[in-house]
Amino acid sequence: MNWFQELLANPALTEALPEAFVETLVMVGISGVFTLVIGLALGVILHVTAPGGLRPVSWLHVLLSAVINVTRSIPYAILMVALIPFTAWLVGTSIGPIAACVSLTIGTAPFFARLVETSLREVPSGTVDAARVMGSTRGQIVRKVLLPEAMPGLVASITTTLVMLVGYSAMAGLIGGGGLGRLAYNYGYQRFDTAVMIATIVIMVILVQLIQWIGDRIVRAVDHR
Amino acid sequence: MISIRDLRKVYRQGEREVVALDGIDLTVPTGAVHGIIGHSGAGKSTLVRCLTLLDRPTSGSVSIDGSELSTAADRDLLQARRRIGMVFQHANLLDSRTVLGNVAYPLEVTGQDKAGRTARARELLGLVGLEDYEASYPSQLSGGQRQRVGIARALASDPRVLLCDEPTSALDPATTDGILELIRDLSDRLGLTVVVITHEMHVVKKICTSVSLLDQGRIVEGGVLTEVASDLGSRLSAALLPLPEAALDTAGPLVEVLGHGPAADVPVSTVIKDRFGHGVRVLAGSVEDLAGVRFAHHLLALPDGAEGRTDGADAVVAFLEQNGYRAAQRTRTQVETAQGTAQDLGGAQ
Ligand SMILES: Nc1ncnc2c1ncn2[C@@H]1O[C@H](COP(=O)(O)OP(=O)(O)OP(=O)(O)O)[C@@H](O)[C@H]1O
Ligand SMILES: [Mg+2]
Repeated sequence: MNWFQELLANPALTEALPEAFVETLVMVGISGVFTLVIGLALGVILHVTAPGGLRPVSWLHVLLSAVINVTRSIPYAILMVALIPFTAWLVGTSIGPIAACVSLTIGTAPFFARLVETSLREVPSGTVDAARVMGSTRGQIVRKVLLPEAMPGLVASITTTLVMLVGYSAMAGLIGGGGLGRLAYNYGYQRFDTAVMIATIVIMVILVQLIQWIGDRIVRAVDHR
Repeated sequence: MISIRDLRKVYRQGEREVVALDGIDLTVPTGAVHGIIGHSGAGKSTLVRCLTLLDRPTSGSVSIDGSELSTAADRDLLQARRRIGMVFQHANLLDSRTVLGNVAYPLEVTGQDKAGRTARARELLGLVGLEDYEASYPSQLSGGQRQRVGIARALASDPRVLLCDEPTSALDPATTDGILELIRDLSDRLGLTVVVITHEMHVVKKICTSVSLLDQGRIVEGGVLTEVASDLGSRLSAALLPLPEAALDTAGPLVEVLGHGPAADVPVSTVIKDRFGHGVRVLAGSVEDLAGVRFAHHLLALPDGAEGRTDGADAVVAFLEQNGYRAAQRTRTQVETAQGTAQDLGGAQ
């Protein structure tokens, strides 16, 4: 048997690997959607309620900012363990890819919210002034001015966040999330199956490259500055 | 008509209070092109922000065509703002939208249907000479073209008033003149009342029918352009009709003379010589047309020792005043101060 046939005969690669890959995609996909929706909303609120913003609400801004900072300062490895009871209460179980999405979302949404806030802050105040002078409501300014003008930055932030989610999802795999992280740990670390280890790494690298490439393409398409 | 009454704006910076506007009174009649000039920190931007209610005035009132803006409730404010078209120094276009999308924006926020706003935006682009650029993005345009888009956008909501905040400060001289001509032309054609904020006298000379000088939050001089210009000794006159740098290499008294209309066409030194028999030296002079009126502005040196004589400075000044000139004796310090004022307001040659 040559090395290639050997690989094909390895059930860890032919059966466990595709299954783990799908689990990773599920984790990144579901938590990605929640992270983007929640993070975008928080980021917009953070920006709008800031002092000198469209609708300054000091207490809300300070509160939200504090919550985000606290969440962001907890390392993900600790956060995912600490959230196990909460996850069990919320989705009924603390293992499996769906359960992992809870801690993944809570771990990345605040990070994304900050990126959104930063992107929105880069829209020149003169542009917002112009929109206000033209009689725009606050909602119109957010929808028609802030978000479209910040789009290149927002897309770049989404890319960064998704790449981070791929990494976190591997960590989440270790405590029962499944996915590529779990696979690499079980086979690569505990059974010294180097082929599985390398295959996992290659797939992760390709996945991250793909996300980054698509993200960069979209940024270029929406950037008219 | 724009009417501003006792407008005050005080900014609080911690303990300190900054009085940015200190009781502005100003009326700009319908159809006028009014310039507001002042050097850095005079309060120009603050005045604009109070006129558009981007900032609420501390006290006083602003009304446009009789409707009061400063006390309008938030929801009326949107409506009120649409009566004012505003042109910004850096155009402040939306980079994410095409030229057409930018001009259509004000119509979009008022809820006009797509076909209607596209047609109107095209019409406005024609008005500013950019019909071929509707699909371009702002980053693909020159500064002058961007400003034209900004003007078209400002006109989209059919405002009665066009407020221009340093509309040409970021442009080169040739482009500046093109934009100023466009503003003047639009004001004539659409009967717009225009307020132009600037720190350059060139802008005022080129398009304004009246002007105010803003200094430390107050309007210290102002009026119809030709009247202000003929007010010899005023700061606006010094800046509107600046004299070239003169070498004051004479011991004799200095006399500043301003003639306008027919008086501007007669050489003033000849007039003096005919009356007094002695010549005068012209140290500096300039002739300019302002709002269709010719102005001749001169700095004269009378012969040394002329002070005490019957043909001395006082007699010459009195004679010139009687003959339709504005004239005054000047010290060297006064001449230099006037030079400084002209420089300050961007009117020096
Ligand atoms: N938001 C603010 N907070 C505190 N002080 C302010 C604020 N805006 C303006 N000022 C002060 O008000 C005064 C007038 O400023 P303003 O910006 O209106 O001047 P300007 O005439 O527009 O000057 P420039 O030609 O440099 O733009 C200045 O003393 C400035 O420091
Ligand atoms: Mg200013």
